[in-house]
Amino acid sequence: MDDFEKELKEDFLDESLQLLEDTEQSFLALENDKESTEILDQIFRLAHNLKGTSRAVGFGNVAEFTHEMENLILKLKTGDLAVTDSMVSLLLECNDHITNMIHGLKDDMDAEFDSTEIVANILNALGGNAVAASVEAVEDPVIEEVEVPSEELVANADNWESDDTEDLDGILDEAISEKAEDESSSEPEISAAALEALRELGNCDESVMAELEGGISFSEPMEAFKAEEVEQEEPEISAAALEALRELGNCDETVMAELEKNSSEKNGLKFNNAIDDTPSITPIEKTTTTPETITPLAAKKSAPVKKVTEDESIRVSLSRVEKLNNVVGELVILQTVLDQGRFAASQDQLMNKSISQLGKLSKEIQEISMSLRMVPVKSTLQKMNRIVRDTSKTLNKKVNLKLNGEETEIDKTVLEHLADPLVHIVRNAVDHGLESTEERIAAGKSEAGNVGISAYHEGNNLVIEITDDGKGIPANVIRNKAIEKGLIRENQQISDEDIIQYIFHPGFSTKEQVTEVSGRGVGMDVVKTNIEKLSGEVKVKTELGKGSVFKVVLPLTMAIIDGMVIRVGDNKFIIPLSQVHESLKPTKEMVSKVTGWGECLNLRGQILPLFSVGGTLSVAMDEGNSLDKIAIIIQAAEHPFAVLVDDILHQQQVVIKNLGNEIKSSKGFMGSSILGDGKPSFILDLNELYSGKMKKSSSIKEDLIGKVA
Amino acid sequence: MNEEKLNQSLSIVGEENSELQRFLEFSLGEEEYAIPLLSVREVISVPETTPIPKAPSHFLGIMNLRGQVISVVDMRTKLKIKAKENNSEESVIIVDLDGMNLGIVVDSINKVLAFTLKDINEVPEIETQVNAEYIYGVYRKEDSLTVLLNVAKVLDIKDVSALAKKAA
Repeated sequence: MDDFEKELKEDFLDESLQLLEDTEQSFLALENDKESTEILDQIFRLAHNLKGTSRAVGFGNVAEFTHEMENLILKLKTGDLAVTDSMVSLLLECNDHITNMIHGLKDDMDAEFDSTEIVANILNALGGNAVAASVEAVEDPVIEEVEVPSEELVANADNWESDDTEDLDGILDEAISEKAEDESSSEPEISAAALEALRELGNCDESVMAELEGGISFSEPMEAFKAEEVEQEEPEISAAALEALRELGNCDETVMAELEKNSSEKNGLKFNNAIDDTPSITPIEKTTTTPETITPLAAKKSAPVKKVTEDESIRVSLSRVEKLNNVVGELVILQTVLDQGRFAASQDQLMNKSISQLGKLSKEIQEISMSLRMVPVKSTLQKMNRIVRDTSKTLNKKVNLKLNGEETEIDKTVLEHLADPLVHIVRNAVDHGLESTEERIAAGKSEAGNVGISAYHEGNNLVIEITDDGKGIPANVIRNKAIEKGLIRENQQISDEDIIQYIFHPGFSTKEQVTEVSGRGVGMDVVKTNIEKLSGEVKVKTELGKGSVFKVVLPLTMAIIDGMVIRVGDNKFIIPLSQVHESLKPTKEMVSKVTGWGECLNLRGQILPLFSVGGTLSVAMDEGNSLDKIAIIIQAAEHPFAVLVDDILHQQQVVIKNLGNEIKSSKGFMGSSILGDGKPSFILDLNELYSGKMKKSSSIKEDLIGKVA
Repeated sequence: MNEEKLNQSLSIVGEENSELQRFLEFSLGEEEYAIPLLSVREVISVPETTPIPKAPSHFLGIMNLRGQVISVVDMRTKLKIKAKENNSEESVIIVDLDGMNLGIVVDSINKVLAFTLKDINEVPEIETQVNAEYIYGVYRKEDSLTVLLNVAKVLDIKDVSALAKKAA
């Protein structure tokens, strides 16, 4: 395989995945709007495109399978088969199958796939109409042979003068729409118009045109769209068409050779198939290559458009963007160093002005380079369509899913890690959240449950809200479960809101029955940990009988955070601002010491354990007791707590640098960053640093509450 | 240590026995050590470092190497060698251990040695020898002995887990 071919294949694999996502969306849309010819047209186009391209780059398995799928879609399009839920399921299965094949090919380009089972399903769905099936099969060579070179033409679009191409498109469009208006009639002039268009391209040799014209008489072009009227065609014609294309001069000889080979193989194969289904080949009603030539050329309409988008966006490897971000990060640090030193070092007006100008520029560069990693959440949100569909089908519930804010952008890495937790929450919303249809009707709600997913920006965060209008989470059930698990004491006073948070506790499931959908041991705790790994958080709000809202708050990017620079003795540390709830100078009344337990802070009636950062990290702090220091309140998920530091220096945006393996395993360090003085500093993860002590502290708290009460 | 094993552990320096291998020789106290030149990224003067809380004493801290944060280790503390006094030649060697960068403080950088693997003498196994596993072998020329050091081993997983345990 030469490089060019390999590149072509790789491009195809990447693009087809996108295409498959589109088809999946279309299938799902079709399910909701079964009558829409528009969606069917679109699906047909996508499938057709996929088939043609896969054949062109030489992935026979994919092409063969997509061909079968296309047959099915064609039947739907012509109305021979009705669009039903099970039909959509089958189409989705097909889609999954192709996706699997593409993934397989990504790993190994020579991989072979077995599609027999699913093809059997398709044939089954086609109604076991053997004659129809065979006709479909026989029709195959037409499309295969003729359309592929046309795809080739599309690929070679550069060779054509673009103006001509556009003209041609216009004319073709016209020709085709004319045809569409008058589908039933079979006026040869129409295809003649198309031919005319081809001729106008100027690249066609007259003899070719004559040959093609000869083909017109065979039939009326739109017949090709009507499956029942498409009958077998003569192999000679396709040979002639190939010949014609060759004479067009734009086709690569090797491609042509391959096509010729394919076409003969194809014919052999197809006839075998046909014989399996029908003892004799059905009578020949002549069709022509012309309509086939037109179809792809019309499809070419999209090609110039595509060209434009290619110019507007390029695919860049993530590693390059990361590298750029690293360098820009350095630039920003250096700029800060310069900025901090500028007044001390120089009274030179020009110099100072330049430095501040540089500051603005580097900030801008930083913003641009960060934005390179930002992608819309659309693709991930759309995946939820499928999740909701499959889940609701399994559970036999009716669900309307509403997506909002799909264009909201977020860092690609964050997005990648977001998909799994999101799937889980959405699945839970359908499974646990929504009631069964009967229950809904009894409760006077709409028959179909409503699940909404919206994404929006809130400050420096991205928020994704998953709402359902189900029954809500019953706090008393959670409470009982928590007592049963020994997480809380029976008579413990905890607000319902706090109780709800226990659903995030490891191994916590209120579902008595393990269903196909949930209860498989992957609980909300995993969702929570995954989201916390992204420095995000999940909040739940629920109202009995009205529904629940899961709010996932994520930082827009992982690479830069807002940090608070604190001083502990001679050391500077950075605390992510997101962890800081408030800071205060403790007064004598606030701090109480319990022998054996340590110090506690009474914050407006709430008793918080009070830790000293210096003590925990074995770093010497300034002299003096707790009253001389500053307490920072950390609103941890389980229990809030307070830490003592010597001073808060300032707040700034910090670029997170990863720690080497040799210290990565140290607990409590999120990473490091380089401060304005050029020296590196550790970013503390106080939640993690004190998570070990929190178990103890929770009992401290309870006991203290007991004492206070 | 047989030759095969030696080759394995020295895979970083190359395949062929007869090929000249280059090592960077440096001093730790009064002793001479060397590491494969291919694992050396650069040599810098001792930078300002930020101490790592709760890390073992040989972890000097983290430094800023043109925007990259890397750890600096004092090899002398680790190997329990007494550092030279009033030393102006103290340097940091930035080594690349399988993509992981690390700074190593040494007393002085001496020279680049070139010899074939055949010239490496095995270390006689002495039961009380603590450091044996850090050492590929010894290169001897005339009267001087140079110990070929396996940096990855010196700071191996044991340290990482020790650190993790300590911080926990």
